[in-house]
Amino acid sequence: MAWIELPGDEGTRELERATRGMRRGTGVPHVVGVMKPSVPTLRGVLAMNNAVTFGGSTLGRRREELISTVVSALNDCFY
Amino acid sequence: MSHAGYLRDHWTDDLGPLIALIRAWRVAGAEGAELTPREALAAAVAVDSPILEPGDREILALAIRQTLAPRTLTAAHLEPLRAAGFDDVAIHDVVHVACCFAYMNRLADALGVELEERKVAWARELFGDAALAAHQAWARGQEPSAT
Repeated sequence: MAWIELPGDEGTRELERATRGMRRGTGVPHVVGVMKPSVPTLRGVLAMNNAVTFGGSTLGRRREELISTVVSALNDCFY
Repeated sequence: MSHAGYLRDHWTDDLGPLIALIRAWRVAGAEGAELTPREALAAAVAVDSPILEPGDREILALAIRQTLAPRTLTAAHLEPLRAAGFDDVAIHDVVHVACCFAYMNRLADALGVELEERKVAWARELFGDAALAAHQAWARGQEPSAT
């Protein structure tokens, strides 16, 4: 899944809390999971993401996703 | 590209134009490695599609410039958004959403994040078998992402 060692989604109580609600059949989304080595980082980044994406901005979800798609495509980021 | 799935599910029933739009941006970005930033920027801004809605082009032009050539930005580049009816909060939000995804892209690419299995079919439809196989090989450390 990634090039660094990652703890389990429920490896600690703090991680279990931080990833609660995001765990699906195969665990948290990989790009979230890669932040598990630092729970404060994971929490901070998710808070930022939720503030400006997933319908959190004034733009509306469609436009947020349009921007996310163009940025990822230009960066040639497959994820 | 994971977020393109939202556009597939909630924007248009006609996937052809959406896929063409995303592929064109990816080509502009990938080929941008061979171009000067200004050439890459021009190629990406020129990408157009009939499925874009009023205001989308102004938003995309700012996000594209911010991504490919941020040092070329000036106050004048915000004016097309104002002319299209966007206020300063909306302009702030455009910039912040683009920043947010640039951050997530760098995170994924620097640490070898592989696409989840449930997203593979959409990635294959978007970019084809060869591109998907290259991504998976890169993520599994089987070959370098760039020379």
